[in-house]
Amino acid sequence: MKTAENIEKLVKAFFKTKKSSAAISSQMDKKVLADALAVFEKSKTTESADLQPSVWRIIMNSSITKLAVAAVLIIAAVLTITLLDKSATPAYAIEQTIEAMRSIYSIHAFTTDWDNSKGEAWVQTNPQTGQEEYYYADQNNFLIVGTPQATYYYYKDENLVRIRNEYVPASEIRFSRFFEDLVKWVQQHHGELSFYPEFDQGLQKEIIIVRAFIPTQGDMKEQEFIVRVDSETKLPISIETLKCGPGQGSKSVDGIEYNATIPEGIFEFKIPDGAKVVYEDKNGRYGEVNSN
Amino acid sequence: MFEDKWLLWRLRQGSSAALCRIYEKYKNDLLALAIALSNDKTSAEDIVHDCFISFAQSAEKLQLRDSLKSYLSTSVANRVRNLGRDKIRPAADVDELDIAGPDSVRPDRRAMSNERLRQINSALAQLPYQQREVIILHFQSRLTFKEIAKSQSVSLNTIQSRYRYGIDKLRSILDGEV
Repeated sequence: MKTAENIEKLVKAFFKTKKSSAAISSQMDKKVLADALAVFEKSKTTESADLQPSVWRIIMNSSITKLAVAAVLIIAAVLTITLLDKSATPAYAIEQTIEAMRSIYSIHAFTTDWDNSKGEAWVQTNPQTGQEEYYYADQNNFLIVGTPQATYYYYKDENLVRIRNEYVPASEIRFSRFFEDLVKWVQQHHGELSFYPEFDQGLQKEIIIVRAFIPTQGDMKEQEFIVRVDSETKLPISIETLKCGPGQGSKSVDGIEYNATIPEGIFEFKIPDGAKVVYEDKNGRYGEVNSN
Repeated sequence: MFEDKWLLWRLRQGSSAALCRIYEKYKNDLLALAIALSNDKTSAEDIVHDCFISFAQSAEKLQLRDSLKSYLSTSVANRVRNLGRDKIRPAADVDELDIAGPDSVRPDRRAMSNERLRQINSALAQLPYQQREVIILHFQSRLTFKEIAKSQSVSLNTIQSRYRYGIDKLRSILDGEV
């Protein structure tokens, strides 16, 4: 008499024994890929033609954008003086990016750290203030979830959770005001900001490269960042740190998705089974328990 | 996990390289699933073809609630179901079953003998399609019951019941054979 458990083991072994790496015939293989690529290319041309104006229209019609227009115009006037750069592409002005970023309420980013580990982050921001409200950052063995009530740090390999009873900001930069803050920061540190167009092989289209450079000042070493901007949406699509001081964020943000639907419950941190939990406040540790 | 999300993001940006990578990554697993569900390699190849064409068509506006693997497996399972009862073969002949491992592996050293394979294959063929489907999605595609339930828009309890009934029925068939 076999138990259900034995049957499960048998069935599992059956599917393992059956060749799981069934190979598609070479003729069919070529056909599937060729057809899929052809359909994809076709959908790209029709989709982008439909989508481009609407993305811009949504941004321009947003009530938040309308409220922000006055502020943007003032910034633009200041920037025109400092950023009138001969290398800039005539089709691009930085105020377009500033304006486009003001309607952002969620950011989904893929990051690479200095040890080349990959990560993912979600940030919910308040479009009116640009301040982040919630965030989630998962980088291999380390997960952080920031909420208005508490900030959770989870060290996966140690099964350890640290809970700080306050919101600890993910970044000093306001994500949806990134360009505004970047411009101010460059100006304050007597740096340079330059733009130039470049053809992106991966995306098969022209993008704008924005380079920010801060020279060495006192104890602060020189810093250099490259921001790649989508020439259609005017939004940054990646950020690369070429030179920076120690401990300054991740090496690169390889991809950014704006206003994507935030996965349900992503900011609700659940303490994993058996985790050691350490409670902290700004003065340090004040409690410790083991979860069941 | 990060790779799939990254690939999907690049795909939405219009990267054909991302589409190629997704295809290379999942084509054989999806074919194996389609064969397990339909027991017909020709239909299975057509299903994988249709599945990727549809995926490529909607790739730019795709917003996944679950993993990419779960999405593609569900797409294959739905297409097999749509083939209709008359086109889904109940079971493959055991001679058609591809046996894992290099040719040099002696049959007597395989994890499971052909006789055993035949018994389980035949037992699986006697299950109602819905029960067989849950067992295959769970063991072959390694989807969780939650993922299967979500993908079929039925409750978790329904999926767990189908699985339990399927396993019970397999037990009674295989016990009878012993």
